[in-house]
Amino acid sequence: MTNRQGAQRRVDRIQAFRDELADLEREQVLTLPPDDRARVLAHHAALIAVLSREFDVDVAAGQRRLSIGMRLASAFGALALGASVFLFFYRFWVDLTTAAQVAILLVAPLVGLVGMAIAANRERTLYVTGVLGVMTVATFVLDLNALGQIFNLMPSPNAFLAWGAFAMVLAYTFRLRWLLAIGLAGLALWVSASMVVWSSGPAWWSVFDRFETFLVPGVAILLLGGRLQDEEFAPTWRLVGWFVVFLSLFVLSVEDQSLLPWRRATVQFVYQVGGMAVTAAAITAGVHRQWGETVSLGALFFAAFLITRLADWWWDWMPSYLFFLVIGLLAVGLIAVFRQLRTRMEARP
Amino acid sequence: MTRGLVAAGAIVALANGLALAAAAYNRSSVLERVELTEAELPVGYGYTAAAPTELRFNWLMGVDFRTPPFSEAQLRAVGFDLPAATSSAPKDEMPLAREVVVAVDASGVARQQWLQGARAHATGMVVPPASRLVVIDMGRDMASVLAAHPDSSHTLVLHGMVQPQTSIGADGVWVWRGSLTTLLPNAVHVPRDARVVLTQRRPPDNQPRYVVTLCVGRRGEPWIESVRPR
Repeated sequence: MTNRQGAQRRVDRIQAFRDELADLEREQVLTLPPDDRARVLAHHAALIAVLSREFDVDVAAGQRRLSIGMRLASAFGALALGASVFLFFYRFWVDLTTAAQVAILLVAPLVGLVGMAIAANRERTLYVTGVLGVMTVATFVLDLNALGQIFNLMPSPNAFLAWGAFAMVLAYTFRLRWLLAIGLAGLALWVSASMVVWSSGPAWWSVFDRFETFLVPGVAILLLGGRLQDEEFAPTWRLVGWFVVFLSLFVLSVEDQSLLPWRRATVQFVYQVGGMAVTAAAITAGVHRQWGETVSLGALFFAAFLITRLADWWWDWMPSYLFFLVIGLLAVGLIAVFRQLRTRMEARP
Repeated sequence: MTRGLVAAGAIVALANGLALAAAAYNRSSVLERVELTEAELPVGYGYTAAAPTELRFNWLMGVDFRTPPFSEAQLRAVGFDLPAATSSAPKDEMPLAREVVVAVDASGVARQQWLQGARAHATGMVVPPASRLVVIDMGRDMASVLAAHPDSSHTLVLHGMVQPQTSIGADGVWVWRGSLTTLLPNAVHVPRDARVVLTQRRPPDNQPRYVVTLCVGRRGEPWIESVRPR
């Protein structure tokens, strides 16, 4: 067992096994011999003790609820702490010399790194480490932005490479999925913006008018994420990859700017059909490979594509109550389709 | 963990080092030094009254107030791939804005031309613009624009974003013209010691309160050398 998620899954399976065994004994279907029963119980107790000590897993339902509360509390605490630090410096920032400002900007992310290292050594759950990680990445973003303002520098897309690489290094050093998502998003933005620059086209921030460029890093992230054996991080890779691809297709299906040399209406139609086909394919692939995040995100964007199309076709001439009735009926239809899919999965050996 | 921390620290150090090196390289040689007033560099929009931290450029779009300053030939020369604009202007998407290098006249001559043209062609009363900065030219790179405008004490050569647009020409046929959407950067940071001058009371005649010595370096990035009361 190498990570907390794996340990938690094992503990959950043990708990489910115990509950089911108790039910089977009560229903007089199965009764383990006392020796076997004692051996299994002792093995599980020892295993839970080890996992609890090494990974701080939640053993009881009450603990899990408390853990969620701790997570929320630590997130709110971090936000308040971050706001406090930011407002403190904002209050005195203009009174500082340029040298002092540059020194503070450079040191802030480094202090964050030290804080993360200390927190990671003191806790096994990594709640505080994760919160400090997000704050550390935010200070690095602020650092380069503020340097650009102080010295009137030309904005560069390479800042996204620095931010993305920084978040990725922290994600893999401390095993933090939030930072992995931030890092992948930063690198995707850098690749897309660089493609705009290399094509000798418009300024790099026109990347948001060239959403096709996001398809390249999106697909690359998906391909890498699909091959990863890392069961803790692979879902995050796939989630970010699909999100970038779906969002790009969605924006291209409603916006005017595109690289395709066709009429606006034709381009939008291509991306509308393509978007629905890709989301449907993603749901199918997710069901087959048991990628929960892919199925959920695919369903969300499939619904977004569908509702956008329906609103575009019908909203103007259909009474609003009828429009929402049709949407509701479609939702019921989708539920029926998903139920059938689930039944087929259950029937599969 | 140690290797990861070292790598993360190295990324922070490298990124900051590159940004500071770029700033140092830019300021290692002054290509232009121009004196401007509050009219050309008013206090930025998002300032606190106690301590304005940036001044924004206030400029006029070319000497002819009726049309955007850049011609189709100039647009093509800086790399815009424009479809031919004929009697039917393109209906679908417009080309996206590009980053170019622009020359901005600060001598007052271009402003005078603008004023004469406006008085000759405008129907109503013409209010003289406060700023002397007038966009007069553009090019693909710093060297060519600097060579074309060698007066380094009266012309600013800066980066900017140019947007092509269709416009009706004198013969009623659609033509491409280009306008400057923003200078890059559009505002200049004010060093701490220079800020006190910016907060003095405005005179009753509403004249500019300060004079700024603005420098532009090797990378075309400006900075404030000094600010003094006018």
